[in-house]
Amino acid sequence: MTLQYLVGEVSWRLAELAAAADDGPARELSALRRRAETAPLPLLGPVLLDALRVAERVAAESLRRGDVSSFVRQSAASTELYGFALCADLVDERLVVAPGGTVEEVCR
Amino acid sequence: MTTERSDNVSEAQIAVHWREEEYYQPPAAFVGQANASDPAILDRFAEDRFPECFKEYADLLDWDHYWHTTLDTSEAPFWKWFVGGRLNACHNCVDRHLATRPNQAAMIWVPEPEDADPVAITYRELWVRVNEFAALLRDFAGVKAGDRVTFHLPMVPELPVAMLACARLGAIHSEVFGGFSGTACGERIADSGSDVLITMDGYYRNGELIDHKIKADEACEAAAKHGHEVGTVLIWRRHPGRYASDRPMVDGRDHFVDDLLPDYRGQRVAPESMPAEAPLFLMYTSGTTGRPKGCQHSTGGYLAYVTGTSKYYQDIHPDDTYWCAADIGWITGHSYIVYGPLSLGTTTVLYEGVPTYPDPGRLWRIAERLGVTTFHTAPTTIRMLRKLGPDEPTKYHYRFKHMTTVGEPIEPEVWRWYHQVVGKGEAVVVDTWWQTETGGFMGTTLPALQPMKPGSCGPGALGIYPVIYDEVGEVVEAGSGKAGNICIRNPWPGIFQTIWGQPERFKQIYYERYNRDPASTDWHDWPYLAGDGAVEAADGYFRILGRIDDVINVAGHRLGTKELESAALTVDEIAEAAAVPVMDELRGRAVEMYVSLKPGMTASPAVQDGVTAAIEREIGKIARPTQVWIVPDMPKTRSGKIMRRVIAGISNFADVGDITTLANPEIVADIRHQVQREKVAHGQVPRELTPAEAEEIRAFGKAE
Repeated sequence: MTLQYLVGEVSWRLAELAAAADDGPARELSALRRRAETAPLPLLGPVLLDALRVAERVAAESLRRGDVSSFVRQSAASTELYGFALCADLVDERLVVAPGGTVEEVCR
Repeated sequence: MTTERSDNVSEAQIAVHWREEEYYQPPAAFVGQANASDPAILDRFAEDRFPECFKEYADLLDWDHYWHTTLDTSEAPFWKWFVGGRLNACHNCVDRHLATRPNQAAMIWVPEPEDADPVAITYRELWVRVNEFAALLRDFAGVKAGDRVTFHLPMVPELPVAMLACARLGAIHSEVFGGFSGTACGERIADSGSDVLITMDGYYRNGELIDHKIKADEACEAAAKHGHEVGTVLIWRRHPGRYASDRPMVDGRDHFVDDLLPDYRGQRVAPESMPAEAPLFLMYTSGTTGRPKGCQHSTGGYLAYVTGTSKYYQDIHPDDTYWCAADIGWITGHSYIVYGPLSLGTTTVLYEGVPTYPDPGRLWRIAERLGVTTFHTAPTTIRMLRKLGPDEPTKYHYRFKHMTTVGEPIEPEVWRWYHQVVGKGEAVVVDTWWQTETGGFMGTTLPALQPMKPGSCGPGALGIYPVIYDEVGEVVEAGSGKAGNICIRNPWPGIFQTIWGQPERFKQIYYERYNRDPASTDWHDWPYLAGDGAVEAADGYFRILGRIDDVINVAGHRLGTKELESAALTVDEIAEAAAVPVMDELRGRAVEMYVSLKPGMTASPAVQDGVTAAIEREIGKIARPTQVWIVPDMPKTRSGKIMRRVIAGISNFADVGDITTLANPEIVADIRHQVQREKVAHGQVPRELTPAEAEEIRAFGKAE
């Protein structure tokens, strides 16, 4: 299958997330982007999951600080990433990313 | 919806339980105008006419010199097509249309900002632009036939112009998807040995003008780290005369194309007559070893194949407005936005931006405005559009006659939405299965002759003879309901020639598995291993299941066993590793790792912890194994293959199946004793497996 475009789409979205994040998380997201671009295709799902964790954490921190504009921007990028991941069948809809960025529960 | 796909079933079970779908027939209006509506075409491409059948595709092209040998197999599996022939791809995509349709739009470019008008570029204008840019490449950047030129360009007309300019000169282009990082681009530059990088200062995405020049700097830096210096960076400006980046230009290296082009106005470059087997372009894919794979595609074979498949499968006519909403940075864009459609002299549409910007109706507004007749996109995009705007297509007055899906299997219910809502029940849907490596379609339906079946790509394309092999190379018969490894028994003109600079890797990945004789020059001995799992229905239609690597589905995450095992093997003490699934009440499946140690190494909790840490580091916490078993040896076949189904059976207290053919059957009892005793001692005996779960465990590892 010509699945390579999924790698590109993930890379693109991680770049957008990184651009919306502060320096520390941005570096984490850049490292995840690097993994997405170099790892075999089956690893895209775990990379996305890690990215969603970081995104959740970043948005929660913005909210805690009362930085509404950052929160809105980060949430939008995160929502887009999550939506893409679902449509590309790279993560499962049952996954719940809890506030603070932990992914512990599976809804059933 | 007739499928009942649970996340807890294996690919093999999907194959068995996914019910057959009904056929959909093409509308009579489509059949009446189709390029391939006479069933005789199927006979012309029958196996007894191979390889000469592909003359029909090659004859769609203009040749400077006709070939003398259709297929040369003397250096199998490095196939050579149309040997002795000479041609130029740019001439075939541009020059030859000037006599008949100079003022027809060759492409219509739609910028992302919706207040910007689409830009139509006629064949004559394209010819002028390509010539002038080819002159610039040749005279300013010193590009000549055989040189590699890397592009890192977004979806703008300058990308096909640059591709065609390189083709005109006989240079090999290598487009890196514009959304990729500069580092990824730099690695590809270094691997290909490109001295010239062509990029753009910025482009629009989601309503913002993105700084792209920054990536050119990163790319040059990354290439330098790999020991390769980029001599020239040519930068198109998204808005000529207005620089979209705040990155400084590097003296002597960076140049604005719009500053240079006036010096080449009116210049003409004669198309270089290239041997049919000369490389036309490289298309990189990510690989499992970290080094990207540059798939090298030929000029004559590739162009013939994409032209032929564009004509018969995309049903492209010159007066169509054809829109493949992919990115040219991928093989789909190369084959079915640029080379195939332009070779047939049609009008191809390019869209710069995000399909859902500013809203999920954008694509359908474009289709309505431009009068698109033929539409082409991927299931992921279809799912997104369906999710975000399920009724949007009904608001617009476009009429498609033909639609394609590409890139991944499409679920029947998504297929039906595509057919009924996007296609308004009037358009044929051509589902396609192929790969970067294959150049063009491998499995699909001839739209006027072979009915559609949701969820199945169709039979082999014309002149393509697929087969499904099991793990020992036996043919899995059509209609058996069993899945296996889909292979193509024969070469075809669009097949990539090699991995750039890595011919042994090319042979090993794609041909070694089912090769019958490494010294053979008979193509029958060299089935091409696609790397996808598939099942063939009794009607000869293939349903593609995904990559053949075994996966363990942990809480919805499809973890590849190969990646888990590769991570374990990064621990110094580990000699062999095998990942298997165990039933898990919370997550569906969990991972257990079995490892054996190198001679002289001692089993210890530290080694077990090391394996766990390596997997967490390389893949993520989701993949953390619940157990790491250090065993004295793995159960193996006589050829040395680890029998994962046997250890999966042990971990799940299930039947381990027939072990009489193992090279070391005695090890099974040892491992069972070790593992099950400990599980019993710790109260970890799983519940009895359901029949479906037992079947999954029995089937585990069969993709190997």
